[in-house]
Amino acid sequence: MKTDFLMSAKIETILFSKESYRLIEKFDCGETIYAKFCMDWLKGVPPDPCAFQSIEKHGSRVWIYQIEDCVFGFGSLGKNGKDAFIPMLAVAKAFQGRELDGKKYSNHILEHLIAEAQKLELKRLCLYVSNENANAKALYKKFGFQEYGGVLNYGNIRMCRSMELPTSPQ
Amino acid sequence: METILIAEDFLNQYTEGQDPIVKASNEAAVCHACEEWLQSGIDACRWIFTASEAIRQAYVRDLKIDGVEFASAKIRELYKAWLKPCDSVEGLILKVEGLGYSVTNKAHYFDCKQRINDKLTTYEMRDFSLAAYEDGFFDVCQD
Repeated sequence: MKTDFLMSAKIETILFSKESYRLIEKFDCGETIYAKFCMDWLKGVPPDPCAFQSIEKHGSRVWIYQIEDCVFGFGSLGKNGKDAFIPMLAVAKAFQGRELDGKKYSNHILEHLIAEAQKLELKRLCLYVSNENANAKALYKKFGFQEYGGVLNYGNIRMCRSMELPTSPQ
Repeated sequence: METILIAEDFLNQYTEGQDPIVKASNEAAVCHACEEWLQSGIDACRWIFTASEAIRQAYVRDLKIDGVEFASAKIRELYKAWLKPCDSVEGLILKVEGLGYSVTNKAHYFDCKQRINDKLTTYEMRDFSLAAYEDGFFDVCQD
């Protein structure tokens, strides 16, 4: 099981795999349909679209984020042509809205994903987010993501940011 | 291991209409036995989630069982199959309540229905998410 302390000295990043799966068995990011979508994606089994399928089929990486042996979220990063792509990102319900070192936990995850995306040397980093998810949209805008196009299926919108922008918001 | 084999067996029998839960459900439907019909649906719901979890555990523990991925795909069909008699079930609930009787396991039944609907919705969302990933952003993100 690969473990790193890349971000805050207190935050541990672990690559998601069958070996580390036990860590997320009780992961819970809420009761909304979007929360359930995130959890089903993380815990799903191929051939259904899920984290394992994203890793095996698209070469994505999925990280589990821990603090003091407690999983507070997960994030993923893939590649599609000239774009880096975040297939999924979620913060555990118990950590939503809370901060560590003056930053929300979601910010720590996103900073890590952006830093990893920069290593891919691609021009943009893109993702989909629910148009109704004001908190998530505000987070992504803070990190320089801009909306592209209109509302798609399930109320999603596309957002992208240039990789030339700094990792953290200025 | 045994749980997984039972789950696989259940998957096959459920889809072929041979599982005892399905048989009980069919009999209750024919007899318009509301409580029994709901209970068989609740039992089936519990079993589908148990089977799904057993398959997940088989996959992540790398247990070499033939057809784990096939069984996983089949679970989605079970959720859809579970919903098929819902209109009839709910019609019967209304009929029974209209006669002045209460249906004691109604709340549990609707909870199952909600959970199964949520599962099917998240399957669709994941399908969309995968398609969006594979299609890329080239149509809207031009340099």
